[in-house]
Amino acid sequence: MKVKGYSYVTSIALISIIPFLWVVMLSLKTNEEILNNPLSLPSQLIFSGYGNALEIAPLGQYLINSAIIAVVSTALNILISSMAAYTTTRFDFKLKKPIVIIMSISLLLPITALIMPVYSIIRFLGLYDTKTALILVYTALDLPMSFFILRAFFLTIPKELEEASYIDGSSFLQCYGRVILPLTSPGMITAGILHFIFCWNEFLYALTLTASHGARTVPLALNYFTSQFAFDYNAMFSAVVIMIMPSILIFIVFQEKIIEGLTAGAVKG
Amino acid sequence: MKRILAVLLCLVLVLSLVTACGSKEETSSDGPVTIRLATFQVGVNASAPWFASVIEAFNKEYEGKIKLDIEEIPGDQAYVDKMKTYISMNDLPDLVFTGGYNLMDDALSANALVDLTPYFKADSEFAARFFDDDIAYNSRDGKIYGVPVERQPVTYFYNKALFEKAGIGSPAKTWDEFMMQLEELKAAGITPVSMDTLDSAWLSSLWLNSMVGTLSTESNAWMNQSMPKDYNSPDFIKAVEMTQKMLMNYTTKDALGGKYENGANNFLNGKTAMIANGPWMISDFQEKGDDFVKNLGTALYPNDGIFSGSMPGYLVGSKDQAHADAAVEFLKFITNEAMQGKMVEMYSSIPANKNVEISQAVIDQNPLLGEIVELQGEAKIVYGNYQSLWYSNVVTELDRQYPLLAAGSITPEQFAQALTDAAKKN
Amino acid sequence: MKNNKIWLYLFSAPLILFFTVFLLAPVIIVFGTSFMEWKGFSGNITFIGLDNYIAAVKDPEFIVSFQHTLIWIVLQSTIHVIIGVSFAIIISRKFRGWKILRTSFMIPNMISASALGFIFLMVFNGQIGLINSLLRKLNLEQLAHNWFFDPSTAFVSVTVTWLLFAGLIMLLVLTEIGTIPDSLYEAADLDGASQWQKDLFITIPQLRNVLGTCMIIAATSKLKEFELIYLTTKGGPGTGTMSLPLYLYNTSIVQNNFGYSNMIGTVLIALGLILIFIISKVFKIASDD
Repeated sequence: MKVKGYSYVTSIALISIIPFLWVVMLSLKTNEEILNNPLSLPSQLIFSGYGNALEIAPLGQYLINSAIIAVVSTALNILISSMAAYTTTRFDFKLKKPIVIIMSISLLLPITALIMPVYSIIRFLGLYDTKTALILVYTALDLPMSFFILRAFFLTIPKELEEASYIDGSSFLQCYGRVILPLTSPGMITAGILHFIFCWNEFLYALTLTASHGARTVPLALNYFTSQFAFDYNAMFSAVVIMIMPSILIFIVFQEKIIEGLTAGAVKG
Repeated sequence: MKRILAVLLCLVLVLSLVTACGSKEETSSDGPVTIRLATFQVGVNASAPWFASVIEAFNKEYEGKIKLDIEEIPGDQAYVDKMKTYISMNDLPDLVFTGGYNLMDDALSANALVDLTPYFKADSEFAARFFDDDIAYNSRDGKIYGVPVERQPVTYFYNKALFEKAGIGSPAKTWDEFMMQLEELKAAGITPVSMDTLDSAWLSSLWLNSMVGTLSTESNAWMNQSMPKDYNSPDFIKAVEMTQKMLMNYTTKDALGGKYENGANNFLNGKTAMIANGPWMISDFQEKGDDFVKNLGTALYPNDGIFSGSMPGYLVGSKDQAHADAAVEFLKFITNEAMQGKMVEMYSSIPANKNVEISQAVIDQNPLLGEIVELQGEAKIVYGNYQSLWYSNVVTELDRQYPLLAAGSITPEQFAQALTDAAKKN
Repeated sequence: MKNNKIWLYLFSAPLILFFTVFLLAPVIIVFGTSFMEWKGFSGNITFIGLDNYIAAVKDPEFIVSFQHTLIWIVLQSTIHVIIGVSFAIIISRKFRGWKILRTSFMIPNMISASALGFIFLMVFNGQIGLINSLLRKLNLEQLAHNWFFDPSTAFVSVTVTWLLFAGLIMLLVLTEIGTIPDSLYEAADLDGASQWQKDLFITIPQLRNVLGTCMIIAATSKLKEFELIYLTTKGGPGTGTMSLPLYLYNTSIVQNNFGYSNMIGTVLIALGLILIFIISKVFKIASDD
C-alpha cells in the first residue's frame, strides 16, 4: 500500500517536471542535435542560445515590465483585500453580506468574458498601453481570490486578542495595524505570492491592453516571438527557460512561506 | 498608530503613482505630429533591416515635423489579428501594412480608412510612381485606399541537388508531371515538398491556389475574383484533392500542425526539395550561404502559372486631416526611388515604384531575383492569392480545415463546403 | 467601538471601487448587450431580444464549444481534484523527499499558461517532440504522430495540458490536513486503524469544506480557460478542441460580433453561478461565520 502510494506521487511529480527538464536540456544543445536526437544528453553544452534569445526578443524589457506590474499590483491587491477581509470577518455592518456575496460571485466570473468592456473602460480612462492599466486590472480581477484566502485566514484568528486590544483603548486603526496586520501577515504573504504569480503569468489581458515594448509582459514574448525563433530552436528553448525561471525560482524560494502562512494561521485557530 | 499611517501613506503613494502614470498621454499642440505605425517588419523578418533603415532615414528627414510611434508586432498572423482588434475598437493606427493579407474590406466596413484618392490627384509625381494594376488592386468603388510598396510575384523554389538525385531534369510543365515528380522524389528517399497547416497554411495554400488558378479558364477567373462565396466547383475540389494527396504523402510529418516557419526551416536545411514562396525568401537563402543559393532554382507553377505581383498596400487609418497628411508623407517617403532601390538590394523584393529599375548589378548578385523577374514575363497564367482575395474569416477557417484535410479525416468536398459555409456568413 | 462605522466603510471602499469599475460595469455591459445586435465598435446597436440566444441553439459551433466546455468542467472537477487530493494525502505523511515531490508537482502551476502551452506544443510536436521521440526509442514508431493536430488525439492532448497538474488543489488540501488535530489520529491509532482507514474515515471527512472549494476552483477554471487552447490548437483541428471562452474570443476579436460574443459571456457567467450553486449545495459549504 505504502509503496503504491509513493510510486503514484513520484510518477505524477515526474510527469510534472520532466517537460521542464527536457526544455532546459534542449536549450543547451545545438540545433542539429535538437533535430536529430531530441532525447540525448547534450554532447557539449551550448550557452550561446541564451545570448541569441535575448538578442532576438526584447526579453529584458519584458521581464522588467512584468516585475513592476506584479509588485505594485500585489501591494495594492493585498492591501485592499486585507482591509475588506478585516471588516467583513470582524464586524457586522450593512455592507458585510453584500461584499461577501459579490466577491463570491466574482470569484467565478469567467474573466475571459469581460475583455471587450474592460478594454473600453481602460481606453476611457486614458490608460491604454500603460503598465498602470495592467496593474489596475490585475488588482481588480484577482480581488475575489485574495479576499477569500485572507478571509479564511482571518476567520481562524481568535477574536480575543483584538477584544483585549479594544479594551485597552485602542482605536480601530491601531487595532488593525498592531494586532491584525502582524497576526495575518503569513496569510498576506500567501495571498500575495499567489497574486504575484497570477500577474506574472496573465496572458489575455496583457495581449489586449498593451501595444508597445514599454508595457508588454513576459507571457506575450512567447506569443510574439515563437515565429521569430522558429529558425533557431536552441535560442527558442533558451528563451522559454529565461521566461519560466523567475516564477519557478520565486515559488521555490517562497514555498515554505506560503505553506507556513497557511498552516500557521490555521493552527492558531 | 505610526504603522497605520505608514500603510495609509503607502496607499496614497501607490494611488497617486497610478494616476500620475495614467495621465502621461497629454501632448502639446505645436510639437511634431505623432503618427502611429504598426509593423510586423521587425526581428528576424526578412524585411526588418530595410524597414529599420527607412525609419531611420525618415526620422532624420522629418525630425521636428513628424514623429513615428511604432508598435512592433512580429509574426504576420499576430499582426493581422491585432489590426482586426483595432478595427473593432475603432482604433486603427495611422499606418497599417499587412504584408499580404486583405484587411481593406474589413476596415472599410468599419469606416476606418482614409480615402487616399485626393492625395494621388494632388501630387502627380506620386501618382505616376505606381502600376495601374496595383492601384486598381488597392481601390474600391473607384477610390484608392491603399498605397502599394512592393510587388510579390510568387513562384516556387526547388533544390537542384535533390532534383538531380531523384533523376529529375527540369521542373514540371503540367500538374500530372508534377505529381509524378513528387513520386519520383519520394522513391529516391527525399521528402518532396515543404507544407504547413496552420497560420492559414501559406505554403500549402500557394499550391492549392496555383492548381485552381491554372486548371481551367473558369477556375482561373475564380482565382482572380475578390471575395468568392462558393468553393464547391469541380476544379476547386480537384485542386483540394491534389493538395490533400501532397499533404498526406509528399511532405514532412510536422506539416500537420506546422506553420510556415517549420516548412521554411525544412527547406532551408535541405530536408525538402521544393517550397512555394515569394522573392522575399531569397534573403533567408542567402543567410544559409552562397553554396546553398547556387543550388536553388525557381520555376513557374505547372501550366505556366504565377501569382500576380499586386498586393495590398499601406492603409491609412487616421482620424483627422493632420494625421492623414503626415501618414501620406511617410508613404511618399517609403515609395520614393531611394527607399525602393534600397529595398531591392536589402531584401530582394520587387519595387512597387515603376521608376526603379532592377539593375544588372543587382541581378548578377542575386540571380534568383533576376529569374523571378524573367519568369514574370514568361508566365501565361496569372492569378491572385487567397490571403488578399478571400474573406478574412475564410482565411481563418483554413487554420481549422487544413489539419483535418492533412489527417485525412475530411474529404475535399467537405473542405470546400466548410469554406463555402464560412464565406456565406459574411 | 461605536465610532468604527466610518472606518468600516472606508476600509471597504477601495474594494468596492475596484469591483465596480472593473468587474461590475463590464458584467453589466456584457449582460445588457447580449440582447443587442452589435457588430463592430462603430456599428449600430439595436435591441433584438433573445435572438442571439436563439441563434446560439442553432449554431453547431456554439453547441460543440458548449459540450467541450462541459466535458472539461466535469473532468476537471473530478479527476483533477482527485489527483490533487490524493497527492496531498500521501505526501502529508512527510516521508523522505516529500518536499521535492511537492515542489515538482507545483511547477506546472507556477509558470505562465503561455509558457506551459508552448512547452506542450513541443512535447507533443510531431518531429522533435518528447512523446514521439520516446515512442521511437521504444520502437513504437507507428504510434508517433502529431498529437495536437491529429483529430483523434487533439482533445485528449489539450486536456492533458491541465488535467494532471493539480498543484493548487494539492496545496490547499495539504494546508487543511495540517489543521486536523492530532488527537483524532491518536484515538484511531489506539483502535489499531490502518493508514488508509485513517485517510478514509478521519482525513477525508475533515476535508469536506476544502474539497468543495477545490471543486469550485477546478470547475470554474475551465470557464476561463483560454491560453492553453489558444496557444496550442486554437480550437482546432476543425472544432475539435473549441471551447466557449475561445469561441467568445473569436466572435468578438475576429468577427466583431459583440452582441453574440457577449451572449456567450452571459452563458459563461450563468454556468459559473449554476456550478457554484450545485457544488456548494452538495458540500454544504458557506456555512461558516
